Amino acid sequence: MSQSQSAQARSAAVASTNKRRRWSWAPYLFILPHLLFFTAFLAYPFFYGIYISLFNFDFLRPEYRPFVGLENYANLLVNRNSIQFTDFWRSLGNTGVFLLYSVPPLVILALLLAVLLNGKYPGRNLFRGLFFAPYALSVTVAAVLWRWLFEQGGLIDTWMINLGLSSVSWLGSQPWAWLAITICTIWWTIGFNTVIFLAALQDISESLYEAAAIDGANAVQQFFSITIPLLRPVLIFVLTITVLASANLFGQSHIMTGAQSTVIGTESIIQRIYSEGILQNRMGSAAAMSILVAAMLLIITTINFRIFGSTEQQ
Amino acid sequence: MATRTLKGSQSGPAGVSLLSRVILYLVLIIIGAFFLLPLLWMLSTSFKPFIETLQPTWIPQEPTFENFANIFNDPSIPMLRWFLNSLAIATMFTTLVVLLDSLAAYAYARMEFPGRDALFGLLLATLVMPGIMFVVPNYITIARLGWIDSYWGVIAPGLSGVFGVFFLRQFFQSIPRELEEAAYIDGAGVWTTFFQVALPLARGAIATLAIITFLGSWNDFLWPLLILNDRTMQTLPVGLATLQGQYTFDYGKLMAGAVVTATPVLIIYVFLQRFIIQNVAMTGLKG
Amino acid sequence: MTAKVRTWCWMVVFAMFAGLLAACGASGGSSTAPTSAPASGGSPSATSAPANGDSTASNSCPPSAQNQQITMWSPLTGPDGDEMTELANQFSQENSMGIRVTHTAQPDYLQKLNTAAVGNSLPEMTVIRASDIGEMTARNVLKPMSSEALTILGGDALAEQFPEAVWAAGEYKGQRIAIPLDVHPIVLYYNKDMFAKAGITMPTDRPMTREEFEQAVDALNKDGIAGIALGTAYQSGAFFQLLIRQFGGDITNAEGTEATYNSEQGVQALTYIRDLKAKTTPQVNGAGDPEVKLFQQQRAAMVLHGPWHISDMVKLPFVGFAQIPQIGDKYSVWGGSHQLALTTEDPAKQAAAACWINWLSENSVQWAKAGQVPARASARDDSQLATIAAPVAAFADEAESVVILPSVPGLEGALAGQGYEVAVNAILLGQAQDIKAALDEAAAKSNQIIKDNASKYQ
Repeated sequence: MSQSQSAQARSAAVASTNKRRRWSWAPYLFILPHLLFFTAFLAYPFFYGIYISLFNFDFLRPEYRPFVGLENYANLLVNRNSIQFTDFWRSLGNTGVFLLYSVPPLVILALLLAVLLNGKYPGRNLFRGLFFAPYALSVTVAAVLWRWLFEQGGLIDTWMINLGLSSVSWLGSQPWAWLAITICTIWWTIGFNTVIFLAALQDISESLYEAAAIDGANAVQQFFSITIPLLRPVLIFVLTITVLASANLFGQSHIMTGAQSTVIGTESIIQRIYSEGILQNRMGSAAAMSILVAAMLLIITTINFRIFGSTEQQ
Repeated sequence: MATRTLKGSQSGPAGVSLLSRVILYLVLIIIGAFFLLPLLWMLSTSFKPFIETLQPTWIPQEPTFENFANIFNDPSIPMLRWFLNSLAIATMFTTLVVLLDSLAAYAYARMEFPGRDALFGLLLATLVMPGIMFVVPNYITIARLGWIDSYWGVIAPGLSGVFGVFFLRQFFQSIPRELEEAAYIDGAGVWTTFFQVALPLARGAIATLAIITFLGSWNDFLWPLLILNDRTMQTLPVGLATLQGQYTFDYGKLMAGAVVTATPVLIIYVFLQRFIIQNVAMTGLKG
Repeated sequence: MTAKVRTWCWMVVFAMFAGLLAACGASGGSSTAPTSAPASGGSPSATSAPANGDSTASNSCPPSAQNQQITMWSPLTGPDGDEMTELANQFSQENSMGIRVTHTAQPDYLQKLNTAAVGNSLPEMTVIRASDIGEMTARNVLKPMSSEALTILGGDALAEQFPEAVWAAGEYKGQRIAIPLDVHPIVLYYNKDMFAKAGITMPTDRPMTREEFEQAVDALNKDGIAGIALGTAYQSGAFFQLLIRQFGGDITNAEGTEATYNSEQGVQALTYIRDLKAKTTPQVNGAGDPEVKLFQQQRAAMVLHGPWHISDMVKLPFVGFAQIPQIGDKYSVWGGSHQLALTTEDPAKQAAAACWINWLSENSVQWAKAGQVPARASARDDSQLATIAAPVAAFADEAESVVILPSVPGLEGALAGQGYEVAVNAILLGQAQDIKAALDEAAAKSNQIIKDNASKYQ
């Protein structure tokens, strides 16, 4: 048979077998275990969060839970003089700044690192281990380490003084504070993205590169004409999860800048929600904040998908 | 895999010029230094006595094992228990996540059923929700199930995670359909196709997910802290946190604890790495 | 066997192994008894036995308390917690009623208490910080002490043992919620060597006067050494709070219904701090107490900070301990207090807990080893204090001048964290210049929150 005829025959056979399988139980059995846990521990709290955002809510005080309707939302969106308004929008803005600082390097540098590590040369495994090692630390350790390096009297401060430069208030002023936090974040998490890119790079066949090389393409041209297009779904995936991870910044800014994060503009939205719900016991308001943040992130990721294409394979 | 460099002179189709090799290593070493130096700092601090932790010196002038000894030799610190708890929880968790998520991901990637895309969209949508909101409702659920102070209480909520499903679905979609179709034609059912065709092909992705999941569980602090009350049930991060003062950090002890916590994971990563880099070209479907 | 099947076999084995461990681990909460009483361990406690011996007999510990198991949570992680655990073990072994007390230190203890309360898995009692008492009682976590428990503790006579502010902090809406354990005032750490070299003597039986303090700062503030290390965050907030009182003002009124720190004395206090900081350590700021580190590196001659640094400071031979200086006309000290509160309503358990609290309070001179000043006067007057914890003896007198906020729910957060701390940080970091305006803005915020809380917690 010719190639196309055998292909036709194959797809015809597949079509008929697919028809036979149309109403099997299999898909439901596949998704059910995960779905069970999802419903109990993600979906239920999600809807519960929406519910409590309509109340002046405290988990420990069933005797006092007045229904306030959309007041929590109004305090965030409309009432400029509410307790929450200024701090909410400021921390949103801070988080936005952090997104701009951190997402491009975390995606682009991770890709470049993965490409670098993808070759076959002695010592490659050592370097792979090294670039991933920081991610093995908890956020507390990573943040304490970098705070210690950046603070007054720390290593970087001492270096700068020894080099004759004047002391910089790394954790007390902008843009240094964001720079410090971003460096810490990149050091800590780029290994995560790199590992994902590495796994994806494995799927690209050598022969494609060899063919291109024979046609005279150099390494850079190969990168842009082969690697990037084939990696596009993974790129968008990594972009999405990096945006979400950066939007959820908490540990690094909390530990490195602590109480002065409000003043120097490094307070993240999660820090603000934590303060509102847990430290100040206004859970209903914190839930409303979370819902709004979720909505904004949903919009951002949708725009992401629209602009860069979805993560679907064609 | 062909060796490729981003800079460097032209090379022939095989082999690499010496110059590009040198540049490659130079770049790697410079980048490596950025990653390595703070880790070295951490390591060196864990061997410093308290007075020296205040000084920015690289090599401890009076190196001591006391930070480690304090953690391991004190009979009131159940280090081994904490380690075993962490190991058990992380292992169970990773195994279950891989199992549950690969099954679900395959269905969302390859199977047809009504509402598939809408349901997956709902799953994705929950990724944007800040995690703080889930803590108390989940705690109440766990308490009602009677799982406070147990491994299951720590593991169960995390199994709802969508990241693994999202991630694996990605990779399942990248498997050429011809392979599965070939299996169907040969009479394989959906289960066999999944276990014998799809899973092995996604081996690299699964190993990656396993590492990431294991790490996440191993370093998890807040949830084990809230669920586990008994000191002998606590995990390593929680236990080590009880050794730090309320408002002070003993840096030597903190770094020693960090070294102890990170080492097992790094060993596992080095071990699992081989699965990730294994060449998947054996099936002859490429090119 | 193919490689694939082999891999699956390994995974199954792994999972079974993990499952076995889980089965063993799932029966949590079994042993509430402490593993080993580290009497012979590191700290030098075993010899100094409490003078009262077994006091469970003396203050009529009732029969209902027999053989009760008490679990006590606390925020006392680290070495402080070890001291408390030792005391708990000692009581468990010595008391004639068979009461067993287990102390568990919890990082993030408020979140722990919150979730445990929601899930009905609270322990019997907890060590609580004074500033949390109002809120935790209003939210049904802490339970009032029964009259039986109060009788065991000594009834009305007990109040006289404690400084008034500290005793009042344990009360909420007329009910006794907590018994004071300690006071932890802010402390002056100074470099003995630097002082000696400059010929300055630190007074030992009274605080430094303003002149003495400022002269010392000026004398020592040169050649790359800062006279005093001033940071931001906790330290500057505490300094502001005590200074405003020393100048005759306060951060709130007596009932805790209004923020008053934007007064003239507030401006005076913040101006003083700003000028002092600019002269000594303008660049030091941030979380993690870099000002303490600077002092420990011997790049600053003095630092005002919490007493929780004592266990580190005693490792440095050049460190001396003293009462903080009196800069204003009044003497006032910032301080917190750990108190002992009950989270159970069961009368038998309350009785047993009261027996333990009684013993602990009478023996609280031992607690000084953790660097805290015992709240109980008899413990502070105890001649053993100087031998047990010499540093603490140096500033124990401060306890009488500590001001603790009234136990209005959420007051400290409203005044400090969401209020003046923001203003103080803004001024000290150079983000704002007008002190009065910054304080006014912060006070407006504080009042807003106080009002909101008041309507929530009538």
